[in-house]
Amino acid sequence: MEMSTFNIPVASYLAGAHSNPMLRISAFLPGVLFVLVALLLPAVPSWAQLGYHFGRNKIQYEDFEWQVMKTEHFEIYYYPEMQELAEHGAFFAEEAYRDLEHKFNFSLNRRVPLIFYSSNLHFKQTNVTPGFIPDGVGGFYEWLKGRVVIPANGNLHRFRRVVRHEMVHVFTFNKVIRVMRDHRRTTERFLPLWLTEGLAEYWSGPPDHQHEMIMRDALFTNYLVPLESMYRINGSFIMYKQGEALCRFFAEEYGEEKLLDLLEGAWKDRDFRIVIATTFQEEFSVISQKFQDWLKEQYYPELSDVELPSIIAGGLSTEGFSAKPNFYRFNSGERRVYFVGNLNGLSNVYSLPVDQNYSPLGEPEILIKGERNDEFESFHLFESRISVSGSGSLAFVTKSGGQDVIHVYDLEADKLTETHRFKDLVAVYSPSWNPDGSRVVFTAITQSGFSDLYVFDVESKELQQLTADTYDDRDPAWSPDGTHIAFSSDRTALGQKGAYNLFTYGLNDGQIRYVTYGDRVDFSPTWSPDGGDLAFVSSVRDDEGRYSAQDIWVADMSADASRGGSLANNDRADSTGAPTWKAMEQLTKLVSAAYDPVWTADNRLIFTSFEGLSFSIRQLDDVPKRLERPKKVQPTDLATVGTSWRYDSIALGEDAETGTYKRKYQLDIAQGSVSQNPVLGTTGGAVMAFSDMLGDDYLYLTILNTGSGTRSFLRDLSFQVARFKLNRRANIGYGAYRYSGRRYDVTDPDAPTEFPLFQETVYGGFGAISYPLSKFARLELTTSLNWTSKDINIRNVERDALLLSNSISLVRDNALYWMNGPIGGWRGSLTAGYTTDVLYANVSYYTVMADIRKYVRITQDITFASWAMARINEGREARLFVLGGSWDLRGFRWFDVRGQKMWFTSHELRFPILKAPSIMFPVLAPFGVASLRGTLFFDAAHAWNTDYYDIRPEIRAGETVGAAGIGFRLNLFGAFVFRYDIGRRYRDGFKEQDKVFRQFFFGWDF
Amino acid sequence: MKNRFLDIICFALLVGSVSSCQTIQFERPNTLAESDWPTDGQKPSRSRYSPSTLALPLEMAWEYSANAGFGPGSPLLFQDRVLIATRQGEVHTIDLKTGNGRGFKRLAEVIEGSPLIADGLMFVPSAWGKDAVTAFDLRIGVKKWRAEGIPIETPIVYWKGLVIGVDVESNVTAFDADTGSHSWSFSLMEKTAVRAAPVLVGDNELFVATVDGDVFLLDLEEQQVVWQQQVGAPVYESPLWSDGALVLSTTRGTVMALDDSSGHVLWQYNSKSAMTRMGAPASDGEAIYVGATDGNIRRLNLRTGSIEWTVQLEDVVTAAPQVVGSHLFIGTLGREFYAFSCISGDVQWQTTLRGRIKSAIAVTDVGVLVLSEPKWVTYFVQEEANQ
Repeated sequence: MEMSTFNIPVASYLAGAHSNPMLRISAFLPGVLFVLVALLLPAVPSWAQLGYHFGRNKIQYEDFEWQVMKTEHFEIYYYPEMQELAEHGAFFAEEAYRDLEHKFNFSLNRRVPLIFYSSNLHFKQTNVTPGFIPDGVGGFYEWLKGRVVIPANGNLHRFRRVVRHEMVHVFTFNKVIRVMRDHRRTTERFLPLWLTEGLAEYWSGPPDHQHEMIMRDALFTNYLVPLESMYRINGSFIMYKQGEALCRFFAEEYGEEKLLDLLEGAWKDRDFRIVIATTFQEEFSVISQKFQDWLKEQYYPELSDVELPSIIAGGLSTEGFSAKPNFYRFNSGERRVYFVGNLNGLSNVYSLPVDQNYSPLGEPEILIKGERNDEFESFHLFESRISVSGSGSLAFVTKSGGQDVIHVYDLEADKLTETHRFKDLVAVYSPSWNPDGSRVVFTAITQSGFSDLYVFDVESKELQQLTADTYDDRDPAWSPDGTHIAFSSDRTALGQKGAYNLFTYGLNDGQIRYVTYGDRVDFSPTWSPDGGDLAFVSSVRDDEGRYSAQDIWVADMSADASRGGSLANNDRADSTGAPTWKAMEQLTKLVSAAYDPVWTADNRLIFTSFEGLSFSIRQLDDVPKRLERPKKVQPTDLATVGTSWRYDSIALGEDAETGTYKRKYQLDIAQGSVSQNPVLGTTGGAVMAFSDMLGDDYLYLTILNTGSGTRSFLRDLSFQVARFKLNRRANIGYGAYRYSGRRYDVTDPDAPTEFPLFQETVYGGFGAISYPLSKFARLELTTSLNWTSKDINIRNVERDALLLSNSISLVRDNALYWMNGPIGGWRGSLTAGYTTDVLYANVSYYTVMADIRKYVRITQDITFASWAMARINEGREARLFVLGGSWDLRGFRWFDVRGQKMWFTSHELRFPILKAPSIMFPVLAPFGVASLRGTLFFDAAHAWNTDYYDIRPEIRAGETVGAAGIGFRLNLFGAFVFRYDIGRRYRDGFKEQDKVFRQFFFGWDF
Repeated sequence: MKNRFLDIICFALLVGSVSSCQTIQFERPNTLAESDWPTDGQKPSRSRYSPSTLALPLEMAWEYSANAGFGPGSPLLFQDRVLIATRQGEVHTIDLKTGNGRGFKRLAEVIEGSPLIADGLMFVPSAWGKDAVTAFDLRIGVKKWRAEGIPIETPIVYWKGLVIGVDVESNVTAFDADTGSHSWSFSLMEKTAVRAAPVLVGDNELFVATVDGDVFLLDLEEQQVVWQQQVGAPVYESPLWSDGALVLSTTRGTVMALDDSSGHVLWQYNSKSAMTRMGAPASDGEAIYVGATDGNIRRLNLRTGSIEWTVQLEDVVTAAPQVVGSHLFIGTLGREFYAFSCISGDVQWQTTLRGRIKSAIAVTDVGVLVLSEPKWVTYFVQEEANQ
């Protein structure tokens, strides 16, 4: 296929996604640097001939009709369906701005762009960042355009907090940049990540129950990192929480103002330890020790009293990540526990056989494979429970396409029976069956961004909305008698402070009644088999504002004491007049947290425990006996309930202007570059990249020159204009270019073999469409029309042609990535193309390429990877394919093996040598040594032109060549992989040994 | 040979001309005029009051780029030149009339507190590095001495042949102005810093406030503490001394006046929010003017501390205000520069600068000098003065 080398970035850009799960929520730089590098290396021979590349797809499912709201300090981008949420968000943003002006002693001089999404599923479609956004990301700040992108998740209190968190980042960034520039220090020196995130957490609100959970667990199970080693947990969730604790410690020990002093002193030294020591006027080691002492003072007094889940509860699944359990007893008497987990890199629904005591009878087996196909694209691991009906229907939620769906799996028949998709519901969580399995209640978020309870009748397909308000109603559980639905909600007067209490929804009268009340976070209710009790998890806030561990509690639901309880009305307090007291009994006093309890028929509680930074499934036996000796009994005093909260908002038209979003290009990068090439001499060029605020539209202008003197300046001037549009499901790119100059192209069939340097001028244009069929598969269409005039003096070749190239590719990729490359799944592509000279008939050839790679996970850390590839260019002036180098045929130099047709295969056994070197040998940490792995490899290839056996040693065609050996892969900073391979080359179909080689380069595993 | 000699002469002239751009020299540096500003706020009492009568409106006379940002102190004025210290450690001199640069010199690692001019020397405190104070001879344009010590982030004070600095570890150190030798030193408190400008009270006393809210009045003759107080909140901004009262602002929403002889609180003003960082105050002898992070400019009665008027602006006010006759000049972090009526608080003139204003202002007979981000010195003058 004939395409300009300019097209190197096209396909990758249009796919717009990475497979690398190690997404950093940090600055985004567009792929312009790829363009620049590619353009300044005309020696790189047609990667474009490949016409495809891998990677998953980031799909624009929604056609958002963006609007822009301008408040005093913000430009808020939202879509009409979520206007009410955007108005709340605008208020939260202005409120945060006013507070942060005091804390930072700073004002921003430009409106901050805030981009809101009404749900996490919409958020994942944003083009502001090119990569995939995993579950659990609450928002991010992108410094290039100063954009803040925030999803809602049905919880206004949480939304408010995330807005504040991101605004701290905005202020921090702008403040520190100003400080650095004032002092004429380079701005690439920035604050440590633990401080920026810790400060954002600390200044976004008081510590929440998750913070307490992590800090307790870290301290009691001994993975707390000392201050001097915070870099070791860079980017992790623990870093956020420990960073928050550090900021709180600094404020309490040295004064709140000292936090700003740290930022204002950032210019003092590259080593931030010195900044800390000079700001607090103490030795760094003393500060670190004081922090440890401060933590111990807060948490150690509780130590004698707390229980480890691993001690008090039997383990069911204790490896990897296991959560959201449920159980079923088959007609045959067999018992199984089901849960959602990630034990080996991909999330699945697991099934675990257990005996009558719920002791495991084997290892968990995968029931539903997730993250490999479109049907079960991803689970909401932290948010969505699963439910099993009395007849063995397992209901669970996955993302499938642009929305969540509820799947029903018949456990008795062992097959998936139904998948329910709801037109107006975007996100769905935690389905719960009614007693006869005919209806299911769940939480859902619509386009508006608010979460409510819905009931779906699986037979009639009727959907009924139970609640309709701005409160976050979640974790519904149907009572055993079918008359009530228990759920958790922030609809109390304390909800504005982040409190969640339990309620029941009466299906007979449609009334909502209190079950619990107080400054606590009550989640995940589960009914006892007789309906007399309701178990749940709760974290209670004390008078000083600190949350307790998240323990299992039980509320007495028996008789009228609970059923006739107080109504929870939005606008007024208890309408019945008479306060009701319920007993809540604390069953556990854990180190950190329990989640999602499920009450079995034989009175056990299966739950998820958090211990040692790990989520495991455990079970507590004999619950009635434990209820006889609870840790604490606490009555719920409903006499103190107040009116429910309402958050303020900024109304459109009154306090804010609004208008439709108009796409405007803004400069992202303008960069020049000069390169010196031993073959081509000096090449100079520049690139300018523009994009719009939402990242949907990119424009690249590139210019470069390979001329060697004044006279050849215009002759060898090259430029390109390219545009990429990513705002629809199909990504589109097009552009025009002129390339002229000396070209070193080993794929040109007319170029001399040893030194393929020649002069060529190309005028042309390209168009490309990438249409994602799903997250894992896509169709790519490319076309180009090039007028080319080629002059190869040494061969006396002067050839003009008007080349039309068209290609179509089908690409599929569900590979799972880790440190050095893929470790599981598979990827493949099939490409067909045709290139013809429409004017002079000098060129006419077709192209077929197939590439398939499979990764078999032998163990958690060992993978067997296989790669098979075949390529054919057949016809007049068909281009050559090339192999050789560290990335494919090892032991051979780059482009050593060439032919119009070739096949290639490679097999590797990848294994770990040092999994976490920086932890084992901390001295390696400053060098960013993230992992050291090894590989045993075997490569083989055969290239030919017309005759398969026609040997041409100058291009190593006509014979099967290969290599075998051992390699080492060193990952630095999680971003670079250095490769070093040692092996032996083979020729003549592996009959002849060639030399031993050592090859060093960089790059990911295939 | 002749050609070579000429070459050498030309080269020497070239070097000389280049290096003269990079030095600072004055003809009669020992003479200090009434209109000069030898220290931050013109006087070490830091009242930031100038009796000058300026006619509004003002217009921009010139703008100068100093290549780096500035600390909170005001520019200095000396013999028709403006002296600006930057956070890059340079001192620039600018011709007051034309705005042309008249030389600059790197005299410290970083300069946060304003330099001081006295006895023909310029004393420059350094906020980083091993030198605490550098003395520069303004007549011959060379460094006279350098004294090692702990960094100083505040303006230094000249007193009876001594230059006195308060460093970031709250040590008060006096250096001989002529030789730079260490004269005396004592520590106010452990593990606390001083970021607020020291204020000279009367002839022999120095008022110092720490970031932990400890304030001290020191007798410079006796080298001892006359009294000390804990004001209950951190002090970061420059206090002032006016008519027997020491007025200071805190980061926790308070402005208070202390009796200069006893340290007793004369009055205390509390803003609605303890989150509000109050800016450095200015006084015309009747009232106190102060900005804050809530964007309010407040006029408080000097005797009672009661609010007389409040003006709400859009952005944080962190720069010290300057009273010029009956006008109050103040800049905001929103790039706005205002002149208010001292009596009523009405806006009388306003302009927008290129960047945030976070430094104090200097005043001439016909204009005001404003420092703004990222590196600009702007001179505004009365309209008739600019013709």
